Amino acid sequence: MDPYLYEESRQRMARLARNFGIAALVCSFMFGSLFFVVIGFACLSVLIAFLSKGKKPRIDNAAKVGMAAGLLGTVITLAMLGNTVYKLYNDADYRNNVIETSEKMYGDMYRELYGIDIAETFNNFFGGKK
Amino acid sequence: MNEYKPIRPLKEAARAQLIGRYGIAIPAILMIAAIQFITMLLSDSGSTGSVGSYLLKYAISLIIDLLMGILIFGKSLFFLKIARCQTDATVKDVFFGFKNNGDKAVLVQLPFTIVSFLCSLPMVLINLGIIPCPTAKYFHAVLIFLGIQIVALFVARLFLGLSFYILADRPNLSVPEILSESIRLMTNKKGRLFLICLSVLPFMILGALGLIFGLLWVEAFYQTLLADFYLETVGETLGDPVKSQNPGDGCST
Repeated sequence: MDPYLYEESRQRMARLARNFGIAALVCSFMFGSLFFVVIGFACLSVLIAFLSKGKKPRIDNAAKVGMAAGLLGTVITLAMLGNTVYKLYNDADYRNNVIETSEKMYGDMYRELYGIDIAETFNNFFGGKK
Repeated sequence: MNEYKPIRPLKEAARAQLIGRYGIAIPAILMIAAIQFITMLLSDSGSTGSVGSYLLKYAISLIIDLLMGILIFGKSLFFLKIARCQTDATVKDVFFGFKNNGDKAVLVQLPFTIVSFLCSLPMVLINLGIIPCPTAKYFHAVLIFLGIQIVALFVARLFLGLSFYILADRPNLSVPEILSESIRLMTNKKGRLFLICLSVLPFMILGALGLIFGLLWVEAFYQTLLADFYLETVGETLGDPVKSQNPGDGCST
């Protein structure tokens, strides 16, 4: 392969890693609850960044940016998830709001599928009172 | 004497050889996975729940496993070309076994199928009720026998893992010769192959977490790494993509 073409292909991969990382970061802001999408994009960015190294001892800057963005996105998502779980455990008002909203949106379907109320499931998990 | 050689050069070479080639490596992998998935789906669709249909399904799955040898041969040839930086590697190479040495590929796959058969036999007997197993322990039995199967197949691979590459390189050899050559080449190299597989494990976890699609890149990398391992074992220089200038010319010479 032409060395120029090889280097161009390698840098294209590094840019792909950067794009996946940025996608993870953007998704972490926009869809915090879809943590698996954010973690998926972040893992893809890390994986492709490593594979884009070729024979070079170091990862390209573009790929490094992607890895950093992916990592930041993962941290943000996990922090948001942790915060939500923490509030569900400790903040009764917040928990009741979530139960009320969920009941309005999915209450009937949930009862039909599982035979119990959403409130019951929430309270079983997060220790609230019915 | 055994001398420890780091696996980093192999990994670097595999990464470099795949630069600019993922566009053909990933479709090849996808094609094999799709064929495997569809054939398994077809074998499942005929099941009616009776003992006869269960046995038929089991027999068909073993036959499919055996016939997959043809595609594995094609895949080995394809990644061998990538590892040698040959520019004539195409997705069509995956189907090379259908026209050339397909019978040998099936016979080379036979030991792996026998290992699969022997390891899955206890589970079949449990499912048929010949070996009694309480319902509460069924899940444990599935996990245990699956684990045994994976380990047994891995051990078989440590001995016969190079068979398909040998078949691709020296098609004039008979099947017993290919298998014994693989065992001979793997003498004192099993630890190295084990380390190679172990070193790919973190990538596989990353690939699985990467919305499953990541596994496509990892599989391409893993297959190239194995082809590089074969080249190193037979004493061939690893391909350098930057040095290969002429179309169809291996860069390893």
